Amino acid sequence: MQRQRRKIFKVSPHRRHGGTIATMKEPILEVVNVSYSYKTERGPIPVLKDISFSVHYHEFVSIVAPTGTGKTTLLRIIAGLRKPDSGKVLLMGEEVRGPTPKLAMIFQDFALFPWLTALENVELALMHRKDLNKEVKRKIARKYLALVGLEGFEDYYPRELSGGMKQRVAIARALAAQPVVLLMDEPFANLDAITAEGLRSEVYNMVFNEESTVKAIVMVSHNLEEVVELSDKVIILGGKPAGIIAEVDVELPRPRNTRDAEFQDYLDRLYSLLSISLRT
Amino acid sequence: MYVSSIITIIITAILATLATFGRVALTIILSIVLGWFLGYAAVKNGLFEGVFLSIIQTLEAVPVITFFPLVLIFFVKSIGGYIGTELAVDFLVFTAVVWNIWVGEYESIKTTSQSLEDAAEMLRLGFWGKFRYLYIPITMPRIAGNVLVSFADALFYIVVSEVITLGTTQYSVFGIGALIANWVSNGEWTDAFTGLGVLIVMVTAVLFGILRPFVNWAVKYSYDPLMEVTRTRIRRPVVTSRARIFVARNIRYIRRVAAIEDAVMPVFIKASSYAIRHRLTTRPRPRNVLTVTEKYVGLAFGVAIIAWLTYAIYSTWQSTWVPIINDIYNHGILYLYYLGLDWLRVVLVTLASIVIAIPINYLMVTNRRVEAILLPILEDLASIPVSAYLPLIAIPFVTYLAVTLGIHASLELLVFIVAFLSTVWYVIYNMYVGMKTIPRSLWDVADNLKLSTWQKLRRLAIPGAMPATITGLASTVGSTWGGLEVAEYIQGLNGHVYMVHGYTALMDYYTAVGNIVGLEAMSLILAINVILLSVFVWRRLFRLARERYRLEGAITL
Repeated sequence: MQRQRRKIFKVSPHRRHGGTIATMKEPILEVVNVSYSYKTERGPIPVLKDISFSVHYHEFVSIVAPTGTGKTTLLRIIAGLRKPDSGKVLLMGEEVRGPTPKLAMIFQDFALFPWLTALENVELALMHRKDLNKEVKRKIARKYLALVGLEGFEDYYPRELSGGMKQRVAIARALAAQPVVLLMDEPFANLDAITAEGLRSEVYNMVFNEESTVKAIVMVSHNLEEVVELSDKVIILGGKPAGIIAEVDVELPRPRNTRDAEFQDYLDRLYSLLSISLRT
Repeated sequence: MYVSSIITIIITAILATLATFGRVALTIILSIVLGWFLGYAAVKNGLFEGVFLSIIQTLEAVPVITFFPLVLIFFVKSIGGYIGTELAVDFLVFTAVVWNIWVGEYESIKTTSQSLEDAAEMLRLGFWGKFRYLYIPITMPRIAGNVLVSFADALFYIVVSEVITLGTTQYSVFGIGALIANWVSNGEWTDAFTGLGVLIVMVTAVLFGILRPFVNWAVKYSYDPLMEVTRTRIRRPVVTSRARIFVARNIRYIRRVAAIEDAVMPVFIKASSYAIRHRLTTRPRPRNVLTVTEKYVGLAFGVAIIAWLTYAIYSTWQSTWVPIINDIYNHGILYLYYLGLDWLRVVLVTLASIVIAIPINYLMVTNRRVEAILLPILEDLASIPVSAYLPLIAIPFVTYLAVTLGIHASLELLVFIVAFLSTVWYVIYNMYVGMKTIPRSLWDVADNLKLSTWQKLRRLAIPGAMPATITGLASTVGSTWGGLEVAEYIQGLNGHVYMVHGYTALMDYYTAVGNIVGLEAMSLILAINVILLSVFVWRRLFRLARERYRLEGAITL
């Protein structure tokens, strides 16, 4: 069963756009009634309560909330890095019980290992693959670095790269793990405005690319403009402990133009929803 | 004939130094490797963390050497012979170097960024993979910051511990410390000086050939934004027009100074500043929350240990504890008086070191030329153990000065100087880092406001340097005690024994005459003293230093 599924992953990128109707309807990722609380000296503090949503094939979903709501925690729960107090996360119908290469995460501070070169950082994603030898791993890592536009920077250390390049390495590393779902935790927050804009416009094509296995993206952000620019669906969290306040489908053709009237309408709607979430 | 005997001496000295260095290297590497696993365990398990930290914080400031006689007796009794002595020496050096290194490793692992840990988890690196790619590299800068000090500490203790007289028996292992002590007590001064010369050359070689390159390499592993700042700050001095004429005349000299600056200084600053700053400024993460099970397990362990201790004391009550208590009952007042005397010496030496360190550091921080020349010299001096050249500096004090000043004043002065020499480098070193890391902008403001030198010292340099100085105090006090230990009781110089009134002198005397009960009684008092000190002084002081530092916000990342 497991082996068969793997096979499907490997084949599917080539026929993504001709994917069968069945796969498109079934959610790839489901979050079911997830609740979570921080454990502190003074007892647990609830942060997330009964959160449920699902992500479908080729969908870009954003989670939006004011700072300190626990959206990063939610993303870590989805990634299997934290265990929810109750509820579960299903990836293609199977419960996520710990970190898995099928769920790759991109971090706000890039989380690159400062003592490894760009290439070595990407190779790290292939460490657990015992079936590949060193040369093959190196080749795959090079391929993904090239995909994010960093050909020629393989032997640079993170400290020698600019913020935008670091985030590209992080994206390459995440893609090299050949995930089904890509999780992004405020991926543009630590970049300057111009770099962020450039990377934003590229990221969609980088991730939903022939070479990539990614079938869906979940992003956490508090920048509404980037959310509207990128997402198919926006989930707004609010309250204490946080629950889902609203789900908004963004139905705009791509590539999207931030100056379009429709774009601005979506932006306004999200702003008003978010201000409600702040009040609750 | 004469030449060949000199060569023999040099070769013997080189071999002995290699043996000594081998011990040092072995113990340092062992502490580093053990520290990775213990630090990791402490970070992952709240119960272990509590125990680990209490032990380290208590033992960090202990003058380990004062417990050496008991350790030696233990090892010689249970293992015996040369191997027992060898293990006792290695153990002593281990206890001298290990705490700094362990604290550094623990704190590095504890402050690993959450996202790096999550990334390692997500990439499924596995237990060894996580060590290899995350936990080991992340400790490298702190290890580098501590390794220079550990090397010097280890040398200091090993040189004195290689030869020790217990009652009528002398225990010694092959090494440069034992060799020099032997030559001195036989009055073979040429040999002793040659041996010392070999030691100095080899210390310098290790320092510049191994430790510096290691530090240079390890610092690459850190991500400290400060390093960029310091690097830009110690670039070649801006050459003014008058200096330009000077340059034209002495261009080779200037090039040489500049080269020293580039090659030597960054390493030193990077490593030391990283270690101290990391300790002061990294956000202290809360300790792990104990689960209920862990609390019960901890309680059970505590009860078991207390029960075991009680039983151990009970079973040896008549044979061991009654004599000790009698001894304390009979001589307790004397012991406390001597303890007080030694603490007075420690306080005076520490104050003197701070007073000396302030102008030296101010000069170095404000004048780049002075810094370029002085810093490598200071660093080398710090690494040559006083204990090795003690017999040589002791000569005038027991001959000429003893006659002019009187033997008591002369010996007192000697003790002070030796303790000072074993302390002052570390005080300078710690304070230097504090002063050097005061942001450039604050110096600019001070210049802009036309503050006088005195005002700059009082308002900027001293308060800026204090947190780093205080944080280093626990270990410098340990060094002072080491200095007292070697200088208060000098044996075998011209066949005489010289001692002053002091706690370590009496312990050394007891060791020499083989009064084990007295030694045990004194070690017990010292142990209690050390624990009280750790609980009531050091921990509070560190917290204070850290908090004040944060309040001032003097250092911005």
